Amino acid sequence: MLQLMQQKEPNNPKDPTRWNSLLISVATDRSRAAFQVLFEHFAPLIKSYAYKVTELSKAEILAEELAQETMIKVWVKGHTFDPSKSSAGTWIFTIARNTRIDLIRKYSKQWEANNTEFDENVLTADDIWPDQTDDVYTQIETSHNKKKILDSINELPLEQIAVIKIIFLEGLTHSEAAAHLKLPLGTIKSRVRLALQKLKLSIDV
Amino acid sequence: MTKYHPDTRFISDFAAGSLPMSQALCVSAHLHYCDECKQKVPQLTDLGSTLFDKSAPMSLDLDFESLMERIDSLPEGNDDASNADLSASTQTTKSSLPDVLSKITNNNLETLNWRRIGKSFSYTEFNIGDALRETSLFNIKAGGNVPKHMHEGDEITVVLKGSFSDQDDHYQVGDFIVRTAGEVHTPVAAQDEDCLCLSTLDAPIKMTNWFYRLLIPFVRRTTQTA
Repeated sequence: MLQLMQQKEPNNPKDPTRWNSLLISVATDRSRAAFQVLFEHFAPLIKSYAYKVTELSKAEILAEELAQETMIKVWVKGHTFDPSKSSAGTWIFTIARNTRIDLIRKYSKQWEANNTEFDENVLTADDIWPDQTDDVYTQIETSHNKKKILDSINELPLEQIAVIKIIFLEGLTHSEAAAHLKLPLGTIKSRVRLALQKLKLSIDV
Repeated sequence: MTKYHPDTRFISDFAAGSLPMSQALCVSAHLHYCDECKQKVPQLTDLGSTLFDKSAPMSLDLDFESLMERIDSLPEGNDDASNADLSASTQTTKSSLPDVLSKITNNNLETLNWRRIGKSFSYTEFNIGDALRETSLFNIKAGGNVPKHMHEGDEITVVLKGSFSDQDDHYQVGDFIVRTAGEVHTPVAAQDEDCLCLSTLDAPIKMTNWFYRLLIPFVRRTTQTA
């Protein structure tokens, strides 16, 4: 653990297993030092992830809260992280995604005049979007996958990169992306499909 | 054997977390029955996660000490609650309803507020906080049919129990069926078993026969929420 602490490179994409060791140390030893390293790396990315969402004014409400809520969940739920099924980076990203869904729902009452009353506690994003993949997928597949994505993402045409960023990171649906880019829905669909084929994810699209 | 699956658009929007709650509920119900689609989600999440890793960080107002103060002030036992949720969810099988539906229905379909239309069709609605869509469970009695209707918006249906047919095909447990605006259909449940489905509707449906009159309350409500 000491060795890990001394290695103060915050951005080392070559070594994703480092995040795993840190997260395990948070979960098992309740290590604040390890948690601080995770915080310093991930919280600014999570804030940025909030800014990917739709309008700037909404992002400003969400951003700090999203970073804080996500990091609190990382601390509280750390023991549910299973390194054989996922990588720490993906696990934290998934928590940020689910937290973003719930925060947007929470604030949407203020944002949308036509919103109906409902009890937020009835359903949360975690009920619908699992925060850890189950037995159909393993950590080996996830790292293999991420490597394939990194190897080929720069070969995608710019128009396809733009669309997959909007869909998979910025949180617009296909229809919203079509409206945003003033393109037919069919064009968005085919760009996503072509991009996924080129990234060689082993799914039929 | 599941034959109808959400397309790449639905799976992608689901994995990205942008799909509206009611439609996401339908996708997650389908995933409960379909391993093939289920394994696509983490792959697409990997894509999101890779883009996330490569994105530009933004500096925070929040500092680590204040975060730890918040954490230290949390009530004890928070961890246990989330733990219990997880262990409960690992025990379900494909023959039972998806966990999320057990949660919404409190594991008791009988006590829900069912409304009947005609002899064999009944439905019960849920408010899951999606103002633009109506989400419901509907049940067609064995051999019975849903009044012939036309869609003015997109409808997603996932079969949860039993099976039904329409003019195009026969649909079984897990099937994810999308009907787009303008399509007319008359679903009929199989003779041997009631058919229970989850459904979400973008905009009101228009009944094409005299049943329309009976459905006025149903249609009016959907108009208000649409």
